[in-house]
Amino acid sequence: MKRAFSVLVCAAMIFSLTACGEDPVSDGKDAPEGDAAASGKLAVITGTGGLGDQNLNDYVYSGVKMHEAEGVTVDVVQPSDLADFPNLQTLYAEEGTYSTIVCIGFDQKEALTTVSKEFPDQSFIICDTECEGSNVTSVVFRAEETGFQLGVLAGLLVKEGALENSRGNNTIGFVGGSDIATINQFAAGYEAGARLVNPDVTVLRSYVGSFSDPTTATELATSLYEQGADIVFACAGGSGLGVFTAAEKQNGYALGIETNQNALSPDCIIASGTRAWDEAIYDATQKALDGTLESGLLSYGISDGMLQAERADSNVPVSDEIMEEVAAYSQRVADGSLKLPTTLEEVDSFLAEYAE
Amino acid sequence: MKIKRFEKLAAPVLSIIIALLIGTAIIKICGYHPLSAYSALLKGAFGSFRYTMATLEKSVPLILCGIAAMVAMKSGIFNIGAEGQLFMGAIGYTVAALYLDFLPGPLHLMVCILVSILFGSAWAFVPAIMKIRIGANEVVTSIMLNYIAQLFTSYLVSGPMRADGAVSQSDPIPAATTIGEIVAGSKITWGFPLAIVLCIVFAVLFKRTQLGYEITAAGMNARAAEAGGIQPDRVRIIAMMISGALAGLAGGLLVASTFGRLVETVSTSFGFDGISIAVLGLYTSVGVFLSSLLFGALHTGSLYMEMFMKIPSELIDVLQGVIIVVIASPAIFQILFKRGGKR
Repeated sequence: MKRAFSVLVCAAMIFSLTACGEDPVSDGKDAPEGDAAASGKLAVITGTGGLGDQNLNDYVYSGVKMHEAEGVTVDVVQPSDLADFPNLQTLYAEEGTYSTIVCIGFDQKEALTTVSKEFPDQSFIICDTECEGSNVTSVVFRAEETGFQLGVLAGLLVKEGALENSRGNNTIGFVGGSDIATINQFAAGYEAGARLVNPDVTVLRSYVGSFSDPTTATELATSLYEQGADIVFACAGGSGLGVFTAAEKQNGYALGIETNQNALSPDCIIASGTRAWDEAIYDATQKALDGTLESGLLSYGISDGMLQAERADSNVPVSDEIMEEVAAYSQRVADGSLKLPTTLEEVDSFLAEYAE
Repeated sequence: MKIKRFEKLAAPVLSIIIALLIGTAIIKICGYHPLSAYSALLKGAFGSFRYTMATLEKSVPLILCGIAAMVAMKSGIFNIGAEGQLFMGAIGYTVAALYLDFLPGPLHLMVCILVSILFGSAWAFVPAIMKIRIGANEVVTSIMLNYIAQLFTSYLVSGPMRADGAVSQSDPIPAATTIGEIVAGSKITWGFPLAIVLCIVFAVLFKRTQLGYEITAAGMNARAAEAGGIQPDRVRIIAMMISGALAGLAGGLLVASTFGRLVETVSTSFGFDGISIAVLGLYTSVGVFLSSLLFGALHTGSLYMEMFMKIPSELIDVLQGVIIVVIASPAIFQILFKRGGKR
């Protein structure tokens, strides 16, 4: 008994020692509020994937973090549980000191719909989905523009037989994560782009039904290659990796999305439709810091210079002429002379209007 | 007797203190100030009305899973399948809520709760009967059943029960089957008083009823119990089913009060945390309640730490792990209490 007591006492002493032995000079890591209020504060709530996902969470966070160089305080929390979203949004909002609270991913939409009403004076940004609310800004990219850039590229490549392993069927494919409006926005741009430059091209489509099921995506992509597709656009989040597996096995080609995925399979991936989340969020949060951020939809696209058909790291040869042509079509989208379709139903009328 | 009781209590208290000490060292090594970290932790857990309520609300599934683990362990069977039973309970609740909507309001709610209990209980019956009839190791079977339940949930929310939209989840359950706040704006639901009632019920069960006695006897010494006219196998199946029922109820409550629908990740690890909580709570209702509050507080507090102090919440996972490792190592206490133990 005595022994236990002495251990307890020792423990308490050690504990108090560490506690008192604080270095009074702050190392910055734990500096509380400080003078942050003067230069602004931003908060980020990541999706459950958290930082380190080398995808949306990292990408958006790096954009917000760019403000740190300007003396802005950036706080971030990485919940692992969906159930924490409402609580975390509330906690940041309750502080009342953040210029805006950046919520990453469509998972947070439902929670934000409720919480944003409770704090009408707090600005919120939600990424990659549209969310109602008088104080909510939805930051999105015009998906059809990314689809269009890749569609033009794919259409030109299969038309001219420029690819080494071409099957010669003038066919391309699309694997979507799910048969939903946002994914079909990509599909519409993709099909519109391909058929605009290559009117006889066949565009095959299939949907995984999940954004985290690469196995099914491999099966679907394999079947598309077997049906004669030369290039398959992997527009399926985490499932998209399965398309690249199929491309390698079938000697086919693929297109990536969001970040530059080319290095994942450099001999198969021709290009990735990158979307500069860091720049978009930097811009949106800058507006919030300036107090000029408006609620509603804030969409970015080619005209903002944030969408690219990125070729770096790919070993698949593509002629400069083709890339120049892609750039020329992108320019027409940017200057507004091409009005892209946002649904698959509008593709035909788009082609009727613009086809040469 | 008095000393003994003190010693018993000393085990969890000491393990928490040891964990705090190791945690202090780790926080220091990682370059943060332990004192500000702990004060942020405390502030985040109980610093305001809302934080306190969040902590209490978070503890509800922990309490239920803690009692679930406790009942099974007392009978001598190890229910590591609470996580799966929780998922089945959540499925049961959602199915009853969405497809039995012709029932009148209050009855519908009762039926949903009942179905979630039945689903959880049935899922726990499988490993129990397999253990008793064919000697299949309940740890192996229930871990496998956990996977089945989780993947079945994923299948349901991305397949037959999927709602329109980008997220894999079911349609929202009807308002009559949701469990709301006790007082509007309080952020704490009726799940919390229910959990307290269940703590009391099980405290009484083990102190005063024959079933409680039989469960304890079967767990302490099955042969002796059998000689005393108790059928340990029967008792264990019952205990396992009670355990599953509680885990299922936890899943049902998560659907009813937290999510309002079936989602892919109903639980991140409540079922497993329940085991730690039962151990830390010394297999008593009161202990489970207090340990659940501690775990709930660590969770909400750690998020606060991360949000406002930039201290990664993973540090608290480490702390939680250390508490469990220490308390699960009885040898440490045997050494500490060598003299006391002989007395």
